[in-house]
Amino acid sequence: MNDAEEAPDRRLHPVVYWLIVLAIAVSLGVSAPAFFLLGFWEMAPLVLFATWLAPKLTRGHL
Amino acid sequence: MSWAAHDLEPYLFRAKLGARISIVWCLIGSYSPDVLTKWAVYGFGFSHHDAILSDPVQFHRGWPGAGFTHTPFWGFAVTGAILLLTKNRTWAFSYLLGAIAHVLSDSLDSVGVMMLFPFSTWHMHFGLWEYVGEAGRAKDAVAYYTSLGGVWDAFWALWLLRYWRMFTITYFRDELYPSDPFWSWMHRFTGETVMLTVYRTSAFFGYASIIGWYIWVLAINDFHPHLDWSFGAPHWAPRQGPR
Repeated sequence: MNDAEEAPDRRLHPVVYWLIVLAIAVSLGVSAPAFFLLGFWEMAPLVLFATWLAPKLTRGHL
Repeated sequence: MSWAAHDLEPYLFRAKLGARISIVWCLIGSYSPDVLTKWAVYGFGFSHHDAILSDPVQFHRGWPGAGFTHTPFWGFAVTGAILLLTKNRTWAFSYLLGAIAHVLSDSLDSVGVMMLFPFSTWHMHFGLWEYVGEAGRAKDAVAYYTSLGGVWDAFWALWLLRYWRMFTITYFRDELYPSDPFWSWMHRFTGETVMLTVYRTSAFFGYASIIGWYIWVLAINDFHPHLDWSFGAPHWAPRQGPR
């Protein structure tokens, strides 16, 4: 038996991943609305980082 | 005024009209009426309010003032300029649709918009919620998200959920990129991660801000943290706009 072949894929489902990112964004916004909830550009760094990280942490593409 | 509706409406247009809509130009159209004016309406500060203008309502929606930016006339004028400069009908139409959607959304508050400008300064206003921009960012957020304004945002957010697949990489690669030359132009300067960020950020912000503002307004803020979905709410704010 090959252990490597049977190792479970622990990467996140893409939908779960983006719901976690959304929860982080909402938490940041509620903590500091003046810095995160006043315009779309305030979320751009988080979306950029999450988009870059997604292929490394998720199964398949979303 | 509307909040996240301006971020979400262009995606619905893309979902419904497909390749006839350039999402970036539709977003530019949707943001354009406020981009040079809203900071002055709100003034400085968040929880405290330092006014810049003596009459921000007149400045934002009226004439004399910058209210012409919230009119179909201005939308068509800028659309004509885009068409002349780019020769791209899809970009021009997308801008126009975004700008007109902004104007119509803002007609739902108590101040409304000058629909017939420059022939008339009459304000089309449905008064579903009170315009509270003159009170600054924090109080406007409380006013908007405790009134039917927040429901208007939630309506667009829930409708757009039905089309969640349009935010996938597959959709971007197979549908969006080939249908709009904006993306191949952008690809000359940057990679797919940045392009996806440009495509997704406004929608992501729309959802995060609606959820975030509702939590902040109802659970953190202590100034009138109660929902009031009656016509013309909130009633604690002074009446603005034509009667």
